[in-house]
Amino acid sequence: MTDTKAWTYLVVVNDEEQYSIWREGFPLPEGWREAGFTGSEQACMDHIDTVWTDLRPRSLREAQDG
Amino acid sequence: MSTAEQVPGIARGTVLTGPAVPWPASTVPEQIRLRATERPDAVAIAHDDHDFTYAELVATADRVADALRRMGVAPGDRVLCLPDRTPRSIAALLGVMTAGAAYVPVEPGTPAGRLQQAVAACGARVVLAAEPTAADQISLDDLLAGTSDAEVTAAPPAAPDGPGDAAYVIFTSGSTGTPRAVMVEHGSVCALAAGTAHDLGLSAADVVLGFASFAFDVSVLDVWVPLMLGARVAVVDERDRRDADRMQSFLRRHAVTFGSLPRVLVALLDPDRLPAFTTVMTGDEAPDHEQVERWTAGSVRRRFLNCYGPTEATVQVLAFEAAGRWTTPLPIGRPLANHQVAVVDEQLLPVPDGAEGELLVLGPGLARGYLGDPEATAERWVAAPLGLEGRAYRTGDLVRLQPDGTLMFLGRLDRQQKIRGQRVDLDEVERVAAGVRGVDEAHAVVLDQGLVGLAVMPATAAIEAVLERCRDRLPTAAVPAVVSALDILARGPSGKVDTPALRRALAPARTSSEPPRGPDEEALAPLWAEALGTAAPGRDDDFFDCGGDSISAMHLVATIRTRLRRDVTFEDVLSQRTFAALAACVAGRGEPEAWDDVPTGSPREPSAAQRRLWFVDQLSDQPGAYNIAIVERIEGDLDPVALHAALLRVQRDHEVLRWRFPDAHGTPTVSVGAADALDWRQADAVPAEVDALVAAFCGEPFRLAAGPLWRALLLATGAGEWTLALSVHHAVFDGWSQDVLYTDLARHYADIVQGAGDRADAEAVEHTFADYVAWRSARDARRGAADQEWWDSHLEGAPSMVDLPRDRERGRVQSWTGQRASIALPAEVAQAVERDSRRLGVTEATVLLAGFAEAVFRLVGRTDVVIGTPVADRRNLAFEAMVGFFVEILPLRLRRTADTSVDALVLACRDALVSSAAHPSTTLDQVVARFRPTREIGTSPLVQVVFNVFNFRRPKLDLLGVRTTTVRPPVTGSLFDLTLYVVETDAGIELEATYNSDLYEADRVEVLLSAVTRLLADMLNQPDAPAAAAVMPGQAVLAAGLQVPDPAPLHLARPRRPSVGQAPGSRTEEVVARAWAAAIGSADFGIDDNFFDVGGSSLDLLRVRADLSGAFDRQIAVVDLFLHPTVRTLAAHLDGGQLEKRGSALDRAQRRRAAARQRSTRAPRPAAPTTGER
Repeated sequence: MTDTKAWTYLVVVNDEEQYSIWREGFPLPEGWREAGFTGSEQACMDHIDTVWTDLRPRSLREAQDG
Repeated sequence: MSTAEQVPGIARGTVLTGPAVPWPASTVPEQIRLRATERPDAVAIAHDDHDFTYAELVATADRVADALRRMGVAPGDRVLCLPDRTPRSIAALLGVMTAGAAYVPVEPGTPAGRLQQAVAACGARVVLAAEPTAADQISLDDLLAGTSDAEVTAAPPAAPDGPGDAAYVIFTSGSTGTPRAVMVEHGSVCALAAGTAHDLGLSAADVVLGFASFAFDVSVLDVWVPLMLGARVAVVDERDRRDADRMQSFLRRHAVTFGSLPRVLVALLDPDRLPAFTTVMTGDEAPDHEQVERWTAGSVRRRFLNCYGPTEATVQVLAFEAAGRWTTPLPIGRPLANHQVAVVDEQLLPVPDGAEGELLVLGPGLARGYLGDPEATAERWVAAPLGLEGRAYRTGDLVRLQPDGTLMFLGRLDRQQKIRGQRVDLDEVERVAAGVRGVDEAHAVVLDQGLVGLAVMPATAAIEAVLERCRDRLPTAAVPAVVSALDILARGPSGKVDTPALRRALAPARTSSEPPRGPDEEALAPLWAEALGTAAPGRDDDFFDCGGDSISAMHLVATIRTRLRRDVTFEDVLSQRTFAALAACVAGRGEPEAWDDVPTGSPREPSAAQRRLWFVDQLSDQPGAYNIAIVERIEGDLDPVALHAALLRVQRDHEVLRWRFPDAHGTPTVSVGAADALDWRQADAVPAEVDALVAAFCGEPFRLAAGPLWRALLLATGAGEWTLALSVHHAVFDGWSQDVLYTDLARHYADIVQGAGDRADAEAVEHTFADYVAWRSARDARRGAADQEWWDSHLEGAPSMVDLPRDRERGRVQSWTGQRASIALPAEVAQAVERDSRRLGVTEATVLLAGFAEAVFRLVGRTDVVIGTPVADRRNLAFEAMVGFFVEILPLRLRRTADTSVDALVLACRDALVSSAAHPSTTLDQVVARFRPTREIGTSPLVQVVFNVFNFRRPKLDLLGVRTTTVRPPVTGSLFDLTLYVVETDAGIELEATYNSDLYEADRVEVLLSAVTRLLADMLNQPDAPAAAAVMPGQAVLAAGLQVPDPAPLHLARPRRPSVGQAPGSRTEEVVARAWAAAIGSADFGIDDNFFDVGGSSLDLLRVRADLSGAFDRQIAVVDLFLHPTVRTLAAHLDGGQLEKRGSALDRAQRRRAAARQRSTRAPRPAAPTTGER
């Protein structure tokens, strides 16, 4: 299979503040926006690891903590 | 939508969409609570021991939730659970969710290392265990004991906030080297329930199989989905779960309609005998083609589905309904309700239809993510491409869309593999192995046998340490079956490890083990190889070390039963382990009993054993000796009316309790009493008189001809204090029956008290005791000759009697006067017994038998004895849960030589037990008739001493809302000279002797019990030493006493050429001779021949009696026929004897004394009936 390690990715986030990565240069899917980080797949993953500290969807987090 | 190059003529990126089905925005507990409100009394969880109604389920869950909340568990928390397979544990899992927390299920028996890992990974504050194994685990019992319904009702627990909360966390294999914790939300389960109702038609009318481990995602479909829809879940316990025959019986018994099965089990069940089972799913691996055909042929309209779904998408997202004959691989089908799937490449771009690609899943089933691992979550849950909304889960599974619109599974993209249906990640195996000091590199492969093989480098690496760490950290399926330490790995041109070469290098080597030898081993070899998926076994191969597990053991047991026709169990594989040992064990076993051969609606006739008891009853002047007494003290708010009604239901379901045996011309027949008539007595009593009242009640004789043959006494002794006594004649009951009776009584009582529906015992209603009688006589006819031959050679030459030194002479006629003595086995002896049993792979009872046998050897001065042991003829599953008289006494021949070691004696006892039990079609009566042992009058023939482990664990009466304590019942009689019972109590093991107090003083029996325990202790101290060397304190004292010094050895009685005897002279002699001839079927005897020597049996005597009673117009006592066994002496007795009518026991006792005075000089040698044993 293709070596995806050479590609550049964006860190993306949705309304529920769930994170994922998206290959740079492809149109973003609906409901997702750039989170402000670009890099290799591993760099993006490392970034997500530091910013996504609570896996609960935002709506649930607000309900439980509110 | 796609920037990829379009290829003309080939559709790109077809998104498959399942039907849209609405689902409630709710939670699992909320949905189940709704069903409980609608139908509180409907059975939620059916279990063989104790069912839960919806009301009970929710109430118990609320109590658990309440207790957890008081321990500080809050919504959003996680509770690690080690559930067992009971309704209570399911209620506990529901309770965790009710408290707003997520349950984290882990299999009981998980190694400590893995458990710690799991606790750390999920951040659980509380570990809840059905059976705690460590101090920091909270016992479910303790948790429930600390709460009451009343408190909970006062403050109903709040349900979790909503569908977005986590319901549970399930661990799956992960490529990071540690298991991944998949967090699933309530909404996903709600969607699955609604979808399953739509796609598969699951409804409240269904009975769903609860088979999957609660630690696997399929259990969510097994348990929560049906409960949310109001259906009944039939939960399989561990014993049934690993035995294909038991599973077949379970599925039928519970009339299961819907369920998921592992692939292996699908092949072992018989669909034709499961007409109710109409929706069958497999999901772990695709079923074999022949199974599709087998399950979908026939007249039953059945849906057979190959399902697909990762834990990360709750349970299943695709399904394929297969039918008929298949030659190509089975597809995994189309999307289920509310799910969408697409096939994509690495860039998440659609591949052309028909091309290989990764399966992408979207829908409400998608889990929240991996707990504590955002990186892995972001990697697998991606922004949905193709213009779809939300997140999509990358399954890592390689699939292809077929022209018919179904998907075909092709394999994994990563190194995850399915091993026996479980996901195993080779990376994880390697990482765990590499964590061992001294291991530089590790490579795991899947071997041809479907097992994990592991190579570690360098060659000096400690293989044992690697295995140990793997066992501690990995799921069983991932533990390598083969580990090799190598200096160098073969590598391909690219530098990658050459997997095929490694696979060859790791193929399980057989060089160290000899090949199978002899016909028994050769017969087993292909079955062993098939179950393990390996090449031919070596003699020393250990089943579990070769990668065997409970599923493959189940497979092996089933094929041994069906192909070799040998009756083995799962436990045999567990205890024997090595190939050669198992082959020897199999060879010693008899034919398995096919439970489906059992007839229904058989005409009612007494069994051979019942005829025997009927006969003994005619002979005996102590009719109470065959009463079985059960006594319970009850504290609390008992409802006597409900108890009475529950007993009525029990006798309604178990017809044999209403049997009685009217006399038809010297032969017992069967009639059945009304279901609504019960001898029920209820009275007030002061505590001081309870014992006397109970003793009188339990000793009260039954009249076999008129019935009833059981009765109940309930004494109220104060506020909330009761004593319940049940007395049952042995002819319709045995020790095993007590457990059945208690289970059914408890269920009916609970139903009545709670106003629930009437749940008849389905098994008991389907087959009656009459069916057992019919089945048994058919079986005995089939295998009787072979079994008889075995007994003939087994017992040839054995001494005909075991006469323990007595304090008193025997009476002329056997007495049944009984007393009891007992001793607690000291804890250190009990531990030694347990250790020894484990070391030798035998039961604890076998070790105890060896100790008892050694004591008997010494007291009779011989090392060859026959000791009786009761076995229940209940191996056929149809009779497992039936009240009745199933017990037979096996005459075990136990021998040793002067230098036999203790270990060897224990193993000899095991062999005697196993091989004797394998020949059940010859009864003790028949053995006695064949050998006609010379014996003292006044004893039971052949067997005088019995070792009974039948009631090892006392059954517990579990009546709703009250506390019960088993009271030792009064002794109603002693059926043998001495019976040694092994009883397990809360305090430990007890040895209890019931003995004939006309023969032995209490002192002697107490000394004997103490001597047996001390002898056993000394034997187990030096198991290698000769048993003869062990010290038995008190031996000299015990050996002194009255004793038959040298009983004659047993020899097969040859048909005796009758002496050319004198012909009848008087008219009375003529009448007697005619009656003899009619009963025996031959007139070839003289008037001085013994009735039993010319072919008459005990039961024939009853015909003689009926004829003579008619001819002389008066009742003739059976005992007189025994005491006058020739035509001449009987005629003389009849001419000169007292013409009193047979009446009270007193009359008969008088006649017995009179008969003793008239005894002729020739000792009678009656083949008297053997006695049963409770």
